[in-house]
Amino acid sequence: MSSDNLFSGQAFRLEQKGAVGVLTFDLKDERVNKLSEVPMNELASILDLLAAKAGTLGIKAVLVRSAKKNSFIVGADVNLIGSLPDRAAAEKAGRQGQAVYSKLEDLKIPTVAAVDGPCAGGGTELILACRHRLCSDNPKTAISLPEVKLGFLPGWGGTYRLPKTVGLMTAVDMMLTGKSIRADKAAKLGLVDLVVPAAIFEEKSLEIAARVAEGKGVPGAKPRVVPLTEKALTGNPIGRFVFFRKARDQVHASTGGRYPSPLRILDLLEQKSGLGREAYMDAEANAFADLWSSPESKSLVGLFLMGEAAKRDTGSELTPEAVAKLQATRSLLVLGAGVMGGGIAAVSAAAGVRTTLKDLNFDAIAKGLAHARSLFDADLRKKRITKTELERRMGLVRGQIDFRGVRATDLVIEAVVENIDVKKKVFAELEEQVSPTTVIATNTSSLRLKDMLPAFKDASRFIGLHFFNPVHKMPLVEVVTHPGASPEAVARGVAYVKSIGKTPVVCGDGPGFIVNRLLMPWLNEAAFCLWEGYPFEALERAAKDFGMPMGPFELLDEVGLDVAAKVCHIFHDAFGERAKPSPILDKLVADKSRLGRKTGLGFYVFDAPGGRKQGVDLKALEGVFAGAKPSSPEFNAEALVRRMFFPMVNEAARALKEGVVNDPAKVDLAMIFGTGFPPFRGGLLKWADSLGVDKIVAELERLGELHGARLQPSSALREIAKRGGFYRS
Amino acid sequence: MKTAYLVAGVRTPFAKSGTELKAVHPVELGRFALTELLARTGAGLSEIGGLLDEVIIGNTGTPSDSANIARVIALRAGLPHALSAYTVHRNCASGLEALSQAALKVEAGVGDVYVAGGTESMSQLPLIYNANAVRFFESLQRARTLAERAQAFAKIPVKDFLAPRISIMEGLTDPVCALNMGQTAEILAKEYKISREEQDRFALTSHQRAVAAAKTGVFRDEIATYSVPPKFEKTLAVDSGPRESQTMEQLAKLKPYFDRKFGTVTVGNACPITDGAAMLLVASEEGLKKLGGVKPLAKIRAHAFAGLDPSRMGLGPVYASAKVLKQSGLSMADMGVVELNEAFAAQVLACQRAFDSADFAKRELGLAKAIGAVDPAKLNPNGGAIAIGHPVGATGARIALTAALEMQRKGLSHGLATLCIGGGQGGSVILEAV
Repeated sequence: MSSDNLFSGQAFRLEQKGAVGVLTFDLKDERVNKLSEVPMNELASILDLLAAKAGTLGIKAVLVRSAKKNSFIVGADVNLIGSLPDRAAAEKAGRQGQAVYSKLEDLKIPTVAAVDGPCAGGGTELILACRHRLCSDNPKTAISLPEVKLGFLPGWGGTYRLPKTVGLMTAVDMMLTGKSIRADKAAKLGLVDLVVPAAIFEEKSLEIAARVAEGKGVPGAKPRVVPLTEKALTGNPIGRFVFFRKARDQVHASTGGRYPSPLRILDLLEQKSGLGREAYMDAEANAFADLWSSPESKSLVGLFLMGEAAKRDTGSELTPEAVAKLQATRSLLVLGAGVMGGGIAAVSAAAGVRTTLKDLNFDAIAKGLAHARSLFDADLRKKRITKTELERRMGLVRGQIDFRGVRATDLVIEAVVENIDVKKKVFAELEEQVSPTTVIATNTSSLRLKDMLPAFKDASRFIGLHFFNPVHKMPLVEVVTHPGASPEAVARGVAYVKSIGKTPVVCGDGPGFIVNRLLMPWLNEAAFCLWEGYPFEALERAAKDFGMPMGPFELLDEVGLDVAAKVCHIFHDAFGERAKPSPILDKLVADKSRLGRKTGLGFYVFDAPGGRKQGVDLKALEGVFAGAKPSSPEFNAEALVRRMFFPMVNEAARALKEGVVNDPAKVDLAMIFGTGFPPFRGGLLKWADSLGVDKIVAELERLGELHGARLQPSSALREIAKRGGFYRS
Repeated sequence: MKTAYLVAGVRTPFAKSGTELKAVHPVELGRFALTELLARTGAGLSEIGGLLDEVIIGNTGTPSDSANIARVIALRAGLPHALSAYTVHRNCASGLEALSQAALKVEAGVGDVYVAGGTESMSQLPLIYNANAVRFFESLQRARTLAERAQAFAKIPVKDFLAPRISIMEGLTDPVCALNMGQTAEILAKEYKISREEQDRFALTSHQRAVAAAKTGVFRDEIATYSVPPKFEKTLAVDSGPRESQTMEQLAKLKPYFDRKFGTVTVGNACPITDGAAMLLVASEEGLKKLGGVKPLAKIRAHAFAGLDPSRMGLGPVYASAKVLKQSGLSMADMGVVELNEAFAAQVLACQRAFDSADFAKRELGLAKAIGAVDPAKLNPNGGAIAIGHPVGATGARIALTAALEMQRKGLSHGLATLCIGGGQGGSVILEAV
């Protein structure tokens, strides 16, 4: 078997092994294969070469593979997508990619793609243009078209070829969710022809390609079984009509119609799928360029790049190599087995961290264990994990009521009651029991680290790790530093957060850190609006229409009105007059049965304490607010949004100026991951910049005159307006 | 020969079968006890795996889904793949067998740190299809066509499906002498003329002592509080068996269980079928250093097993204790505490009679003098299996631990833990204070 090198470039090489042309993607100087201009040009050249010379060379089939370990092709380089200058460039990039893959599809000789590891976006579109697809049973093997997550669509023929390969229903599911398909599922769906054991994947792929070269098919491959539902729904016009209607309804239900991409994909499939390839590709290229140009896509791409940058950030001046040498968190002690403690234990055990819950008595520990178990049971029910994995995770969580055997613990997270004296006592006791290298972190949300420092002998190992509720769902953790914290402690905290699959945002020790500090002005202002007589529903609606997952009063009910009131007062003490709480919370909290979801009654009525929202008892609310006078006779949703959200921007400016957070991208990431600030707006500060910070300053001046000095723009915000925006340096 | 030390130990609370722990798999019981034991060593759970030489666990009712239960427990506790593990079976003394084998390996210089323990869920011992039912299933498998299947079903032996083999009953019956454990106790009760009243009084004492011990926190270091999965709604901090309200009148009301006509052994003066696990750490001098210079509970001074007539298995402790006393050159009087497993009150009391009999010593043990009965104050001072329960695979480890902790509490120089073994054996271990 000769192994002639027919083409050798920066990204691709073509060798001949017998009758098989082996096309290997091995992007120079990169750990993974990404698609950009150079690889696509090389691919085009190779395809031209094959089209011309395959016959004379005796190449009867092409095997497409990756040389990267455990990775096939992760897609196009998102940085490049983000930096395309204009719609015309985007359209050009789309059409060029389409042309290359159509060339691949048009090769006279059969092509076999061999996928081992992740295959996403443009990589998936490449394999769809091949005649046959194999994949390995490597647990890392996953095929996806995640373009919808960046606000556009698979623009290199993916929307054309995927439905032809797996049927319309699966294609829509994959493209609208961007979900990853693992090996077994891929075979079932007909996305791949055959799954081959990873250990023999290399040899077997070549063997199969050789068979294909001889004119035989892929051995063991079965034709896709078309489910009855699919035949019924997509095989006839009425069925299709129903299918697309339902699909659109689902998109609206989950995204509120805020993102154009999924709807445009449906439009394309519904209207253009009868067309021939050329006409279809034209429609796809236009759709891709339109979506690329949309502000939603720009927001999502920006957010993606921010997230990638955050992943690389170690949180300190230490390099990733230096951090890798530090003590990893393999054992964790959580003080306080409540809902937070139990949730932290669950996510840590899921990541393989041995976790011990400590509390005052075993009833508390039992509750923490039960909570962790219920989370794992939910994962089992949804088939995300197997029973064995559940047992493995539960085996990693235990509880105790003393400090026996904790000396060698790598990290301690304190999640006891929000009381500074109790916490200080706990820290003092704890420090005696652990080793000098143990990192100690507090999960406090409303107290200051500086007030806890006196409890420590060595405060350099003390940081904050602020989780959000519910722990298993919320991706954000604020990693709080203080002037005396060692870079190693901070880096270890950041590394731990990453190891449990969450996003760390490093910030300073200011009141409310980032998220709660910025949330409060919104919630407080909403309360003032309510006090002034604005309709309850209108306020909730305005926030939700803006894109928040919950209205302000729903969120207050979730958090707990007593907790919110307490935090309001803490902020009032810390920030002064501008943070003065509206009278509403205190009035409500005076009735101890009215603390929110946990008591079954807050702003809303719940079917049971901790149960589901049933409705709002407006009459009762009015009773509480006796004495409020409407001060603004007219309102509109836009004005309400400005009044509720501009104070957040104002507060963000102050936080940045004070150095509590050093990067507007961190603020945006934190607010999106910590509160669900709408990603399609790109982030709080990206949104502010898009409106024009000077306009925000002007509006705040006006609102300040009308409604109270608290709304006045800060000097920090004025400075930012002067320099042109948060993201202008 | 190196010295083996009993370093530390932990057990689950014990519960009567069919009660609080009935739904807990013996692997989970063992995993919990092992995890708690290792967590308390302070060596750091992540590091301890690398320090252990082997895991040896006793279990008699092998669950069909966990063939080598010791290995499954070790891996579920997160111990490394490289750590070997195996399961041992010497009926009622399986836990002691594990301890004995760990000690032997240390003494022989094979390794330095061992886990030795036992686990048993008698609640989960299965019902087994009888031979006729199995034949039906075989005929069904052979049937290929619908007609053949229908034919097979027509002959379904309904009666046999309703008469499964009850494995726990079979397990508690010795096939060689064809007697169950209770019947062997009846033999001893009659031979040694142990009255119903004496047995009931002994049983009552067991309960009273166990209740008092639990109340005063005697078991605080021994038992790890267990929240029962999967719901974690029930949390056990002490054994659920001991009854504070037990009275002689209640015991007297019970009918003899194994001999309706002339018997004296009842369910009240016998140990209950029980679920639970116990785990111990055994180490050499070197092993203690590896564990960070930990102070052990006791030195393992001598250990031995002996055989006797299966129909009189209850006397096993006498034979085995004679061996270890001879091995160590110590006398029964030297033992500050004796944990003699209470399979049946009659059996314990029979042992006392035999210990006290010069005749027995000469005839059965080849000794010139009687061994000497155990001072009742020193015998199971914190209650025994009649109250606490006897999860067969675990008890051997449990009583060694209980004895060691009692020695530590009272500053005793020596302790003896001994059990009778179904099938006609006895097992004993002598512990010495360090």
